[in-house]
Amino acid sequence: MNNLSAKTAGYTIAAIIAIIANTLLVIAKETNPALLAAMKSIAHHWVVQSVVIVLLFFLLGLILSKWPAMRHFNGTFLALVLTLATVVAGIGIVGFFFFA
Amino acid sequence: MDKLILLIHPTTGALAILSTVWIFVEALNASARNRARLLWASIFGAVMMTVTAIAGGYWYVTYYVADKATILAGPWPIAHTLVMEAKEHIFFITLILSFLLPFIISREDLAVNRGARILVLVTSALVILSAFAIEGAGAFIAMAVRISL
Repeated sequence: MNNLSAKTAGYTIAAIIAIIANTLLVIAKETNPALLAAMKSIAHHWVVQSVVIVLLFFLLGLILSKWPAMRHFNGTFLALVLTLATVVAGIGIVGFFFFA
Repeated sequence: MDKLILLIHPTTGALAILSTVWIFVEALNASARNRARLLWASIFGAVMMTVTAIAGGYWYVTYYVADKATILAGPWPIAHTLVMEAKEHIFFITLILSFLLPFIISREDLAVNRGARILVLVTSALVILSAFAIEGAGAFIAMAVRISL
């Protein structure tokens, strides 16, 4: 027995998407002054980013966990994808600021 | 007040790491007997990581600007341009992974579901490793401020 419940798989996939989206948002705001200015017009850009990423995780998790197809996901497979996403996203952020 | 807030966030971060190490060990020995402990440890870890985000975030947006100017004028400007910039954004990865653990543990029986057990072990290992890296980055930034004064 390796398959996950729809809720577990839904929130795990939401975490994978939120982690990748976090790195993409960092690169987007640091390379696009208009986006950074728009974020700063709402609040501090770090606060705006934190709200966006946390809301993305919870809302996507809520939506995906109601999708019956989520029951077909294997925990070992999602663990592998989550690890890859975390490593790539982390290296992406460090690499971006290293070369920026 | 700023010194107190500066001390709170690495402390709650360390408590989050401790509870996640606890999750990792309990998951290695998952059974019906430790299911409640696993769930409480994961909730405690997520709460501590949330407190870390609020306290660290408040300090960062309110007080860090003075330290940033000091670091950039000192011998280790990389402490801001690379270490702080990476730390403040990589933290969101750790935060999301901490939020994920209670969702997995509350829905899965880790004693019988090998895939769910591996997912908890991997997620908790990623939280521990990334949080330790962030704690180390914080120490590096503090040292950069100190040698710049």
